[in-house]
Formats: sequence, structure tokens, C-alpha cells
Amino acid sequence: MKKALMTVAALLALSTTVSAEDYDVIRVGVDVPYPPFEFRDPSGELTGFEIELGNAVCNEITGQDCEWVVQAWDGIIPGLLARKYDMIFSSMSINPERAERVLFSDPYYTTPSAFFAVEGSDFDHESTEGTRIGVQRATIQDTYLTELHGDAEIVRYTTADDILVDLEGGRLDAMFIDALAGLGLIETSDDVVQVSDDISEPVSILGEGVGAAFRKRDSALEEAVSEALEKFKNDGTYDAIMEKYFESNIKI
Amino acid sequence: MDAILALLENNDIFNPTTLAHYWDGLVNTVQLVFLSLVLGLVLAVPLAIMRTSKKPWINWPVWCFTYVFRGTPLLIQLYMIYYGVTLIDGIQESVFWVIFERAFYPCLIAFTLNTAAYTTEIFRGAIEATPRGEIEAAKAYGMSAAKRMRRIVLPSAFRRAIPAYSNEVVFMLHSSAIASTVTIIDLTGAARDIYARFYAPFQAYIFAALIYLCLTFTIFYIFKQLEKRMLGHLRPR
Repeated sequence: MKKALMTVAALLALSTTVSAEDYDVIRVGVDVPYPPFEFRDPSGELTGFEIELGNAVCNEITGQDCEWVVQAWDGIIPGLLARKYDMIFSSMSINPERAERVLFSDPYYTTPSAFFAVEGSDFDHESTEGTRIGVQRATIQDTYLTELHGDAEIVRYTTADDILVDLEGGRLDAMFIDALAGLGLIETSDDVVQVSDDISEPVSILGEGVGAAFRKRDSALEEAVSEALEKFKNDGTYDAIMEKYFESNIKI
Repeated sequence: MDAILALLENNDIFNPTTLAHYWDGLVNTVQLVFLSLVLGLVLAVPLAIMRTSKKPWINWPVWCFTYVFRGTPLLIQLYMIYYGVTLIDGIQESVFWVIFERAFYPCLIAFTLNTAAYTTEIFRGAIEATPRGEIEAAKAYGMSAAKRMRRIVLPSAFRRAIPAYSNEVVFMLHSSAIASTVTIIDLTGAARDIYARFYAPFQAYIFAALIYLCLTFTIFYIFKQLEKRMLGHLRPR
């Protein structure tokens, strides 16, 4: 019986073209916790930047909040393809490998990178010749330095903490890492500060940003979500949510 | 042969850039290991003689040194010398900073002290294994203690130490892989870079492993020749 029902359901799913208006509620896969993007507040409720932004998007399309489905990261794309939820809204960076399996919306945030140095140092990221800059091995920041700051000595580390230790110890002139991670890291340090603006160009190296992901055939839902995101980016809704969680600008 | 050439043409990993990276790594590894072994050997000879002394105030400090360095992991010694020293107040302004500013010298110091500790104990064993008869004969000829050490004890002790020392050399080569944890691009560091860039752990590490294997066999070959010359009298006829 169950099998028959599932067959019928599958046939129905194949035969009907689903438009965005057909969704009573949008089920959204998310990997929790990943603060400040998604985490549980002390009373156990899901909250965070992506939860609030996602609920705003769902409200725009269906008139009610998303139905959040918590799913561990390594199974998050299979879960989408298995119809456990209709959308992934979980800080998924857009890249070609994933784009082969899922459909991405327009990007809705990107974390910039930035240079950090000891306060009062004369490091200038415009002229890095002869300086020593620490970076995490094989990150987009590594590629950025290798391609655009080849005149500096690039020192590659396994973890970001080690870079900070050598920066404080005077072995490095600067470090170049993800700006949000960097700001979190230097909270423990008395004398390291951000010494450049947030850098997110060029996107060919530093990434296209983070997008919502859908099954390939659900292009109607993708369009509706991209449209809603575009609207919020312009009418101030996005900025209001962003300012609650971040000091820097992650809008793309 | 054609198959190998085709394989070389069809791979994304082993291009001139990455091969040059491996070469830099190889140079760094050989440099670090060779220098630390030479310095360690120079340190170990006087230490081993002190270690065989019957006077506790000579023997005991060396005993402490060898037991601390043989009793703790090389990785921790390296971290202490590389990261630890930056926490000493004023070190950045002192003359020592020239040594500690880059990773190479802290690493060389850690490796040298470590291999010196092991080599000291190897030589101590060899010195103590000197047959009593030889020493008594030297005494009967009226040789002083220093002359005895120089002419009788050390030459035969060095010969006896060769097989054990060859192991120490190979172990040192393998231990040097941890230099990559303090930003030095040695052979392992190069392999890590290439693995991280291409997500190809097998190719990146197997290539490095093959180079280590070649180095190890070279070392074994050299020591084999050395043993043939120096320990010929011990070979079965």
C-alpha cells in the first residue's frame, strides 16, 4: 500500500509543473549550529542571520515562516534531492562542483577578506613588496595573495591560530584571512587590528558568494526566492537583519 | 615507456611548477637534516666522553640533557623552541631575534639538540663496550688518560657505533617531516601544499614518499660502504 502511494506521489510530482505559488509552506534544510548564521537561542528556538532572512523570504512567497529541517552538512545536498526539504539556506558557497547537482539562487551574502596587522605597524597592503604575510594554506585568500601579491613572502599555515601567534610574535608583517573569522580571532589579542578595508574583489578568486540551493527542476521557486532576496536587499529589510548580527558588510 | 609518458602528459599535478616546489622541499629537507646531523655529531663526542665519566658532577648534567631530549617528542621540542621563544619579553629587540625570526634556525636548533642527545647515548654505549684488555694494555704502555681516549678508545668506539648511528641518521631524516608544521617548506610541506591545492592526497604524498625512500636507500648505501671499510675485521670469513 505504502509503495503504491509513493509511486502515485512520485508520478504526481513528475506530472505537475510546480510554480512558486503552489507552496503552502517552504521546507528549508539548514545545518545547525553555525553562528551567527544559524544557532539556537537559550530557549531552544532557531535563530540567526540566515534563519531571519529565510523566514522573511518564505513570508514573502507563502505568507508564513519557513519549516526548518535540521540536517547535518555532509548530507545536506542528498537530503534536498531526496525531497526532505525544498531549499537549502545554510551558508552554501556557490561553486561549479555543487552547481552541477543543484540550482543556486543569486548570492545573498559573501564574507570579505581583510589584512590584519599589529596596531601601529607601517604595513600597507597597497605596497607589499618584501613583507611577510601569513595565510591559511589552499584557501581563496592563499590564491589571492599568490596571484596579486607575488612580491611579498607568503607564509602558509595550517590553522589561523598559528598565524596569529606568529603575527603577535613579530615574525609576520600581516595576515590575510576571512574578515569575520579574523575579527573573531583578534578578540583574544590586545594589539592586532584590521588594517585594510574588506576585500571581496575579484569574485573570480574570492568567490561568488553564498546562495540558496534548489533541485534543478524547481526553477520557479528559485526565481521567486531570488526575486524576494533582491527586493529585501533594496528595501532595507536585509540591512536591518544584517546589522543585528554583523558589524561588517556582507551584502553582495 | 610510452604508457609512462602518456601518464605524465595527462596529469594535472606534476607540472614544472609543482616539481620545482618539490625540489625546493627536497633542498630544505637535505639541508636541515645534514646540518643538524653534523652539528649533533660534533656536540655528541664531548658529551659522550663526559657521560662515561665516573664523577657525578660531569656525568649528571649530560644525563639530564639526554633524558629530557630523548624522553619528550621532537614535535614538542620544536614547538617550544619555535613558538615558545616569541613569548619571552624583549626577545624581538634582542640580538637573538636574528636567529628566531625565521623558522629555519629554531628548527635546526631543535633537530640538532635532539640528534645530539641520541648520538651521545649511542657513543656512550660504544665507549663503555671497549674491551678492558685494550685499556689495560694502553695503561701498561704508560699512556695518559687523554692519549688513551684519543688513540685507543674513540677510534674503536666510532667503528662499533656505525650500525646504530646509521639508524639514527635515517630516523632523523624521517623526523624532519615535522619541520612542515612550523611553515618550513620541506619535502612534506611541499606535498601538503600540493595536496591542498589539487585535493589529491595519494599522488602528492606518494611522490614525496618515493623521494624519502630514495634518500633512505642512499644513506643505507653510504653506511654499508663505510661498514665494509671500517668493520671489515668483524665480517664472517
